[in-house]
Order: sequence, then C-alpha cells, then structure tokens
Amino acid sequence: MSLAVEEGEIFGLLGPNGAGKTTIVNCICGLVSPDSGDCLIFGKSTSSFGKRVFEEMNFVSGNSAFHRKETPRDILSFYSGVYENPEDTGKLVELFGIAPFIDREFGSLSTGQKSRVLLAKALINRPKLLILDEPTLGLDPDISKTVREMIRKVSSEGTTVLLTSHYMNEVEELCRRIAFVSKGRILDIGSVARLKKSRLGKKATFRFVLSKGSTAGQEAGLKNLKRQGFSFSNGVVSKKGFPGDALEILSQIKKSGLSFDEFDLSKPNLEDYFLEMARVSDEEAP
Amino acid sequence: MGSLSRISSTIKRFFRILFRSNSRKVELIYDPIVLLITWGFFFITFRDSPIAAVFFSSSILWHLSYSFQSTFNLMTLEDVWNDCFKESIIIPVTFLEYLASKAIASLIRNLIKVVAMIALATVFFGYSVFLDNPIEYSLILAELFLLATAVALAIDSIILVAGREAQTLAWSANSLIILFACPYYPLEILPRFLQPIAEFSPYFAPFQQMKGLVLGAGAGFSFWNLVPIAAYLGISALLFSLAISKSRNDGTLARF
Repeated sequence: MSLAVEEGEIFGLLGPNGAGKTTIVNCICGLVSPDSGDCLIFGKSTSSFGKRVFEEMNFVSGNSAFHRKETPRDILSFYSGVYENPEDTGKLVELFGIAPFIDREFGSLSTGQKSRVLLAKALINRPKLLILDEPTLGLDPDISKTVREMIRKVSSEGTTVLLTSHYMNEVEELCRRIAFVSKGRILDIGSVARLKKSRLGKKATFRFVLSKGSTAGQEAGLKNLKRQGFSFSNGVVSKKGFPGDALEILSQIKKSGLSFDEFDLSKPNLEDYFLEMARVSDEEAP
Repeated sequence: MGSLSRISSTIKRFFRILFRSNSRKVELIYDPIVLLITWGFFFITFRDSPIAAVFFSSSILWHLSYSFQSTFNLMTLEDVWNDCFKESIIIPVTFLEYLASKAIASLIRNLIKVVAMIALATVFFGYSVFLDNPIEYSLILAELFLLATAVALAIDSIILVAGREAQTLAWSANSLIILFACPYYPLEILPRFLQPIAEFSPYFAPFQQMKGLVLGAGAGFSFWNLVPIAAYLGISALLFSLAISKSRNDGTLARF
C-alpha cells in the first residue's frame, strides 16, 4: 500500500467494512505498527517521531471514548493542559453546543453529545493533521452540518484532513481526492470526479415511474423494455446510458406503449462508485 | 513548563477519576480502618510480646505497599475498562510523564491512608513506633512506594500484553510477593531453596528494616538498599516499553 496525502487537502478513505481503513488510521496514529514499510507525517517517520508529533495532529474515531465519570468540562480542561498551544475551550464549547451538558458525566451523554465532545477535543490543539474516522456517525443533521462546516473551515486554514465515512454524500461534498481500500490494498486513488468517470464513465440513470392506473398490456410492454436492457423494480423502469442516448431511450419508452407519471435523470454519484468498487473487490476475492 | 503542565494535568485527571467514584472514596477509608482495628486489638491483647508490635507494623506496611501498587494499576484499569487507554497514547504526554503522573497520584492518594493509619494506631492503640522513628519509617515507606511502583509497572505490562484477563493480578500479585518478604516470620522459616529468592524479592529489605526498628536489632537503612530498587524500577520500565511495543505490533493497543 502506498498513499500520500498532501498538506491542506481533505482526503477520503473509502472501503467496505473490514477493508483496512481503521488499520491505516491506527498505523498513522502509532497505535499499530505496520508489518513492513513506514508511515511519514510531515516528513518524519512514525517509528521515530516520538510524542512531539501529537502536538500537530489529532484523531477521533468511531470507537474513541473518555472515562464515563469525566464530564466534558474535565475532558476539555485535561486536554488543554497537555498541549502547548491550546484553543480557547469556551470557543469550542460554543461551536459544538456543549454548554447544556458540560457538567454531565460522559457515560450519561447521548451518542450525538459524545461525538460533539470528541470533536471539540480533536480541535483543541489546532492540529495541522486531523484524522476523522466516521466523525458524523449518529449525529443529528444540524450537528452533522456543523461538523462538515468545521472540516471545511479547518481545511481552509491549512489543516490536512484524513476522513473516513460511510456517508457518501459527505465524502463527495468534502473530499477533493479519495482512495478506495479493500482487503488491505488500495484499489483506486485519485480525484472524486476522475474516479467516478474512470469506473462509471459518463453513464447516467434514466428513471421512469410507471403510471398507477396502467395495467393493460403492461406485462408485454415491460418484457419488451427488459429485452432492451431496462430494469424494473418497485414501479420504476430504469436504464443506464450516456446523455447522448436520451432520444433513443425515450423512443424505446414510447414504443413500449406504457404510460409514466414521472421521469428523472441522475448522474452517477459516489454511492454508485462505491457499489461498483465493492463489486470489483468481491470479484477479485480469492 | 511543558512537561510540568502535562504531568499536573494528568495527575488532576487521575484524581478526578479516583475521587468521583463513591466506592473508591469509601475504599480509601474503609480498608485501612478495618485492618487497623483488627490488628490493633491483636496488638493490645499481646502488648507484652515484641512480636505483637512486629505484626501490627507489618500489617500496616503490607496494606500500604498493596495500596501503592493497586492504586497505580487501578488508574490503568480504569482507562482500559472505559476503552480510553489509547487516548493516553495519542497525546504529547510521554510515557515517562504518564508513569510519573500515576506514581505521584498514587503517592498523594495513599499519603491520606498513611496519615490516617499512623494517627489511629497512635491515638487508639498507643502504638508510637512511627512517631518515635519518623525518619526511619519515612525511608521504609519511601522504599516500599518505589518497589510497589516497580511491581505495578510490571503488572501494567502484563495487562497490556495479556489483556483484561490479567487484571486480577492488580489485586492478587502482592499476596504472592509478600510471602517472600517475610513480614511475619524470619527468613530461616522458608525452605532453604526459597531463601535466596526471598532475599532478592522486592519488599524483603524494607520489612527487615522495620523488624530491626521494632525489635531494636537488625539491618537499618543503607544507601545500598537503593541499588535493588533502581534495578527493579529499570527492569519494570523496560518491561513496560516492551509491552507497549508488543501490543502495538499485535494490534491490541488500539483496542484498549
């Protein structure tokens, strides 16, 4: 595996469960030693950087936790004491809306509240490298939005962000480049647009929602469409094709004799890419 | 400034964890009082025998050595039980600072016990050996504290490698080690083949010093006593470093 993340970029790591994303993140954080090779942070090897590198990086993962008896106030107070140049904790409390539960024990907080505390802790040392493993898992949409805005803001200030997420829209919205990991190997790496294009082409999905009342000749019409490469599911007829195929597809639909209530055209998104790559990695399985 | 700030923040964190739990607060008072009263009555019953004074002193020192060690391990276990030990790895606090913080937190917490036990022994049972020999007893306590830290560090290392199954060592290891320290009996009582092991066991020297003090005969403090203490601390620090390294290689560190 060879992977380089450039300073200041937001880089996404994608892959199915068990692909090795967390192992990569743990290697970067010095929690796991790589079997071979090395991991460099700001040009220094993780095997020799000592503890000083943690002044410049921070990390939050889906299974990060604090002691159940500590309150958010305790946690932020502790972390602001261990870094040389800590952020104003009041600012972080305000940014993540922590004030209403600042004196409650961590063990009694909801998943969303815990995530907010973890994220506040992740920004307390104004990190140059921020590693976020599933940062918005279990968060309300408004807090997720705040987190995405926070990621964009710290990135615009020069922080490098390494992000793993199962929310494809989030990765597509935030990341300039991504790597698709499977079985401990990188199958694909590059810009989101280029990877989608290389794996899915410019193919779009044409979707037609069947009229509710249409029954006469429906079966024959659908059979005819299926023969021409259309698929049918839950009252929706769809076909993948290039935008230039639109007239031909519409003509095939017209000839089928079926009537439709709705039509839409969707461009391939990162979810389509993920599903395609998951299929590719399954096919490559021994 | 940097290192001191990191150590003081880490100590404060350990104190918040240890003192926010009601059971830990009760434990701090309950264990020493019950132990002291039990052995105090024993001491009053056999007051005329110097053996009673040795037993009383031994039981107090045994409890304190156990408490120094178990408090140190408890701070690791609290983090392991709450799945947040790895958070101590990915911050700028060095291992030396981390271990020093734990040792200092353990010392401060147990000084409360030391003061309470000495006060109770003196006031309620008229046992004044501690107050009559403050320097000698302070040295014995300091030796026990350093040795208990070394033992605790070795136990931490085993927990990091073997996982949570090894946590009972935090409570049981001291009972085995104390067997060789000969607190209640002379070294000669042990089978001959165990005697050299006992002489090199961690707590042997301080307990012999205590016996010498109470019975008015035997070895006192010598700077040579610091050599095995330094050796134990060095070996334990090496074990801890190897345990972190092994845990990192096995991938178990990320799970703590």
